[in-house]
Formats: sequence, C-alpha cells, structure tokens
Amino acid sequence: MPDSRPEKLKSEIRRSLANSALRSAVARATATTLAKRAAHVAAEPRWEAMRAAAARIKRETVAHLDRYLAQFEAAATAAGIRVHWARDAAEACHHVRALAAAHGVTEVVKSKSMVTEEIGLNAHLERHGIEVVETDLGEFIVQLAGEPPSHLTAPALHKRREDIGRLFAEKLGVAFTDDPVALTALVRERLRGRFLRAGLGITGANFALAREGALVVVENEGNALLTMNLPKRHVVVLGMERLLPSIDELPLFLDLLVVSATGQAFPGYVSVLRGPTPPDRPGPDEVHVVVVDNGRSRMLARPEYRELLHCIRCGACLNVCPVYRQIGGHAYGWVVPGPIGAALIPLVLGLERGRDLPFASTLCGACADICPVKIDLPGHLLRLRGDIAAAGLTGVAERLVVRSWAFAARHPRIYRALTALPRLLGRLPVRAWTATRDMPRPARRSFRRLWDEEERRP
Amino acid sequence: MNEARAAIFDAVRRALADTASTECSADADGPDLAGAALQPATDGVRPAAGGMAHFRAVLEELGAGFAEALSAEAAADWIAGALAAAGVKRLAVVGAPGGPALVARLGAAGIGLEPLDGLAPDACRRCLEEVPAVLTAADFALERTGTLVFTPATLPFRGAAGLPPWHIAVLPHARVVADLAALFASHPEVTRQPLLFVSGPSRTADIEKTLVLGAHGPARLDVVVVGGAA
Ligand code: SF4
Repeated sequence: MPDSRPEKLKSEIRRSLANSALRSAVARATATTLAKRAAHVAAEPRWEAMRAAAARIKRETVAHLDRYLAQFEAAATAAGIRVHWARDAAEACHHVRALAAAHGVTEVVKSKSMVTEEIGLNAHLERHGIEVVETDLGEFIVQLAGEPPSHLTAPALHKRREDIGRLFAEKLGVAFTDDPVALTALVRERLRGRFLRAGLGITGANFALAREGALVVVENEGNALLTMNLPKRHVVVLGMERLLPSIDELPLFLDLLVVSATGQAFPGYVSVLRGPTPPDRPGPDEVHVVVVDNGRSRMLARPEYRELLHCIRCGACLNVCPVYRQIGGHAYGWVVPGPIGAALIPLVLGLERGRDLPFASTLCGACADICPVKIDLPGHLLRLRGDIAAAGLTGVAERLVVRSWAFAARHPRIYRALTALPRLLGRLPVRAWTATRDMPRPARRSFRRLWDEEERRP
Repeated sequence: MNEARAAIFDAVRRALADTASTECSADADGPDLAGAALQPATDGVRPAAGGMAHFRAVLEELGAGFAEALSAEAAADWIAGALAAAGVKRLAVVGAPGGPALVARLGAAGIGLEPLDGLAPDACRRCLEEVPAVLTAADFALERTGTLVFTPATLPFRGAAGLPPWHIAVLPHARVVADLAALFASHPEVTRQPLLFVSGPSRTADIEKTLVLGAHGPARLDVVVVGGAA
C-alpha cells in the first residue's frame, strides 16, 4: 500500500511511474470515461451555457453560504431530519459514533462518500468497535485491500481484474476468478445480509437543496439505495459547500455531474430525501445530517481560492490530467487527487505539507476546459506556486535560478549576453533534465536579432 | 452542538463579509440563476403522436426491457408471458400498477401475487427479500434518459426498487415527459416530494470499466407503458 502523505509526492511519483500495470489501468479507465463524456457533450449544444450557468449558481450559493445553510437547516428540521454541526473531522466522527452508540449499533453499512474519507470516519468507528462495511463495489475492493480510493468516482480504477481476483481469493477465501461478472455477483451475495443486519446506514450526499431541506444521493449500483432504506437509521455526512439553492437547479447539476463523471445521460439511481419514513412503512425512522466544516470556512475566507468550494467532485479533471493519468491517485497522498487535489491539499493541510502538489501540473489547461463548474484550476495552481515561493518553501536552487533570471531581465545587456548561453547548454550539467526529455535545439539566430534585422529592412 | 453551529456560522459570516451586499436568492423567490439559455431542450410534456421509439431505444441501451400495451389487460398478458418465460411464479405488488384489472388478470394467469400494501414494515421487507420479482407503478418517466420517477404515493418503500432481482414498472403513456426539467415545469407538485429516479437495471463498471448489471439492485428492469397513442 502506498504511503499516503502529500510530502512523499516525489518518491510516490517515481514509484507510480515504475508501475506499468497501474499506468495502463489508469490510462484505459480514464480514456473510456472521457470518450463517453465527449459523445454526450458533442450532442448537447447548450453544454457551454450549462457550465456558465452552473458556475454562476455555485458562485452565488457559496457567496451566501451562511444564509443557504440556515435555510437548509430550517427546512430539513421541519421535515424531521436532525441536523448536527461539526467544526472539524473529530467532531464529525464523534456525531456519527455517538449515534451508533446510542442505539447499540456495532455494524454499519456505508456507501461511497469523499467527505467520510476526508474525516477518517471508518478508522474512527472501527477504533470504537463498530464494523464498517463499504458497499460500493470499488470501495469494497479498496477497503479489502487496505487502500484509500484512487479516484473520486471510481475508487478501484488503478486495479486490474486479475489483481481483484487475487485479492478476493486471498482475503475472502474464494476460488480465483478474474471475471468481473462473477466478482460482482460475489460481492452482491456477501453484502446483502449486511444491509439487512446493519443498524445504521451512512452515506454522503452529492447535493443538499437549501429551500427544500432535501438531500440528493446519486449512484449506479443501488447500494446507496439499500444503505439509505434498509437500516433503521440513516446518517448523511455532508460537506457544507454541497448546497444548491433549490430543486430548480437539480436538473442542470445532475446533467453536468453525471455526464462529466461517468459519461452517462442519467445515473442509475437518484434519491431525493426529505426526512424519515412514516412509522407504518419500512425505511429509516431517523435521518440525521452531519454538516462538516473541516477547513471549508477557512477557504471561504480567502476570496482568491473560494472558487475551489464550487467543486462537485465529478472527477473529470482527474481523467483529463496528463499527470494524474501517469501517476494515479495515491501519489497525491490525500483523499482528493488530481488537479483539484493539487489545489486543495496545500490549502487544507497547509502550504508546507502540500508544497510540491501545485507543481505537479503541466498547466496545460485541460482541467479548466473540462470542469463542469468552470473552476480555473491552472490559475489556482499558479497562484499557489506564488504563495509557496513567497513563503520561502521552494528549493534553494530554484530560488537562485528565478532570482538570477529576474536580475537579468532587468538588465538588458546581461540578458543579451545570456541569450548566447543555449549554444553552450550541451556542455552544461543538465543530464537530469535530458534523461527523460529532449533538449530543444537552440535557434541559430535569436528573436532579438531577427527583430533588429526586420526593423532595419527598408 | 450549538457551540459548533454558532462557531461555523460565525466563521462563515466573517469569511463572507466582503460579499454581504450582493443579491441572494435565498431571500426571496430568487433570481433565475440558470437563465433562459437553459430552458428544456424539448417542449414540456411529451406528445404521444411520435410513439415511444426514443424512450425504448434509451431503455434498451441501458439494458432494460420495454413494452407498449394498449390496455391494462394487454399489459398483464405481456407481464405474465415474461414471467412464465423466465420460470417466475411469484410477484410482489406495490399498490395497483396499471389499475385493478391488470393485477386481477395477473392473478388469473396463475401468478402468485404478494401485495405489499398494508403489510407491517418487517413483513414487507421480508417479502421483498424473498420474491424473485416486484411490480410497481411509476409516477412518470423521462423520455430523454429512460428514467422512471417514483414518489411515495406509488412507492411507499423505496427499497422495493432495490431488493428483488427483477423490477417491472408500469406507467400510463400520458405520463412520459421529455426530461427532468420538463417534469418539474409541467408538474411542480413533484418538486415538493421525496423522489426516486431509476434509469435501467442496477449496474457497475468498477472493475476495469466493464459493465456488469445487477450490482446490488435488480439485474433486470422492464418498463411497460400502457395506453399508447392509438
Ligand atoms: S474541479 Fe471541476 S472537474 Fe475537477 S472534480 Fe471538481 S467539479 Fe469536477
């Protein structure tokens, strides 16, 4: 299992690059999703208008988050949902554990949720003797392997079918098969009893609707449907930025999320939850929502980075990122990988811990072009690079080079003299650079010289 | 708990002090955030005249079955035939999909019907764990995406759509609308209810992006539209 810490980025990159199986699994999976997405986008003439509208809506919601949160709380409470507030991961975990403890629950079922990964909920519950069963197939696989998910929407994207077959044979004591149908059937059979026994179901929510006080859960497998409806109690752990003003915005956001995430027109199941089930019907008689801050209000306080809270966790920027496609998700060392992770990690965990992440980008702009809510990811990565440099967290050599260049740029004579340098580069010690790249051949005449000649021409 | 709430609201308000003066749709009915550019691509409730070709094609692409029946009796015959072909003799029934005539005819065809209405919650759950198939009535369907829409009126227990391995849903032809935006525009009462949207059988692509049906919910979904354009 990789050592999941952002400080280890450089060694994890080397490790990932040496793993050709990982690279081909990630490349194949991301290419499949991108192709399906592209087909839907090509058939939707309003796509750009939809992205622009979604960006506007998220900006408005986040800019008035206090009022939307209050509105959500009031409407959810009126519908019988119990709303809890958590300043940080510890408080959020405590709420869920207290709920389980209050009902003597020792077994919970859970469907995929990035915020529960972020707060370390599984480990917390298990430390307190509560068994957590991940029910999404991909999450079940990575839980069994003792790994974190490597993608926002496809947690086991880095694993090949034979790896999964071997994992099941070893951990579940079943005969080896690498047939996805047989492997899926096995998980279905194993988990059905768990859904029926569990005293508590835990999910995240893709959206929370402020006006209605409703929660929206999107999935394909039906595991979230069972998690929410079979146990007697349901807890939703909600990142507090996940609000939309109302159900009126839901069609737009569902379209953008699902096409961007999986290249589908509509997900298999969408549940719009509006409180507990009446006592005469099967279903949860208690629904709780734990609204989690955990650093979000800090990010909100920095207008230049606030836009990062617009993210709807579709994973499209991961799929399209040339860096993610080479190194996979684990190398980033935090729950959210890819370009959005590279921007979030230094802000959430601190510049020092995340100082290498913003540099793990070619700034090609593909992430900004694909993002359904138009987050300017390259802009944020650039700004973070500036913050990291200003905090003196870049390497000595890099600082020296940049300062020398800045000096030369302010002194034209020196600058001109230095333009002759490329012809000498072959003799300079740049082997570390040229080991994996071609050094471009310098032009025989510099741009300045060409320009001067052009100027002199009659 | 209240302490945490107060601290979060305080932090959020302080963070947003610079935006306090801009308009907020939480205060009133709100501005049209999505804007006119995003009106439904198609025009509201789906006209029946064109038949169900697109809806059918989308459902089939999703791996679901589709049948169009001119009457409740014809729908019952189609369902009975499908169950017989699969060797299924028991069917849980939620409400009276397609009306009492449809359900009565299924009973007359020798299907062992297990009505869920009125069962105590535990008995209802047990029944759904055991039966090979469930029959439900969908409130609406969305043509563009092949989606069924359920409210508590038709599906009091959402788990019914997830437990049995085969789900058969019936709905009237007139209830097929263009898409979600069109549904919300033409039937605003829907937006005030808990909702479940189902598009195709349960599925996963978590292993090497290979599509597998029946991940946790039904591996088979059939949609029967009753009372066509004729
Ligand atoms: S930043 Fe944009 S593309 Fe990336 S996960 Fe978030 S919403 Fe999707």
